[in-house]
Amino acid sequence: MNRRFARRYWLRALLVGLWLAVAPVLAAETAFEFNVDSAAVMAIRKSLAQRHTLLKEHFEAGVIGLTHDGWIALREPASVAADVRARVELLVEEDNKDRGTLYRELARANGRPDWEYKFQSTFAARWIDRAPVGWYYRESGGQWVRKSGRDATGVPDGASAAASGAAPFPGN
Amino acid sequence: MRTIKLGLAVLLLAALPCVSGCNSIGFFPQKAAERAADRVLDDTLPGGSVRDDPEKMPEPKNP
Repeated sequence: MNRRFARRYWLRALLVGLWLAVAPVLAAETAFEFNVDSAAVMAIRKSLAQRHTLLKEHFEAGVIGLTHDGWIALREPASVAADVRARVELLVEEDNKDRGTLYRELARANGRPDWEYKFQSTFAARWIDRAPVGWYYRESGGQWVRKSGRDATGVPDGASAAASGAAPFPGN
Repeated sequence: MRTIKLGLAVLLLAALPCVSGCNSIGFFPQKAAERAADRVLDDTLPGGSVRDDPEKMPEPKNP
């Protein structure tokens, strides 16, 4: 066999082999869906949705905001009236408890308890990215940022801001 | 020649577990996780957010 022909043949075989190796990975990534409908996860989703109706006005008023690591927090606790603060603090505490359970249960429901922090970091970025204009989010450095109209043009600065900070999640 | 054959065989074998699910080999499907986050987020932000309409941007109250 001609040596040049053989080299070309093996180059093609290598390319085909590479494609065969990569294609299933891409296909699996596209087709794969996480289970977010387990009984435990559904219960938390329902709880979060119900509480959100109470939290929404505080998000819009800038009293509370999202954090880069998947929680919510009071933005300026000292500047809120004491009675309001106590009520909001309780809501924030309950919501964060649910969020923690959500990340843990998602990982468990999908057979990978070790992915809890990966879910947390992904959800954190998506929550910030999809937050309405005017809401606040806290960056990894502790600075609060108000989502501006520029975000609405499709620049996912919320997500990038969350992703660009120092990795707050163990195991990432 | 033998090295190339071996390389191809390794690549093909490496691809097989992915067919049955990438999570079985420790690969975190980031896009799928983002879709999962969106599904959960739809509970609290039905129909998306106001981000598509800057006119709706609420004025923050100074607490």
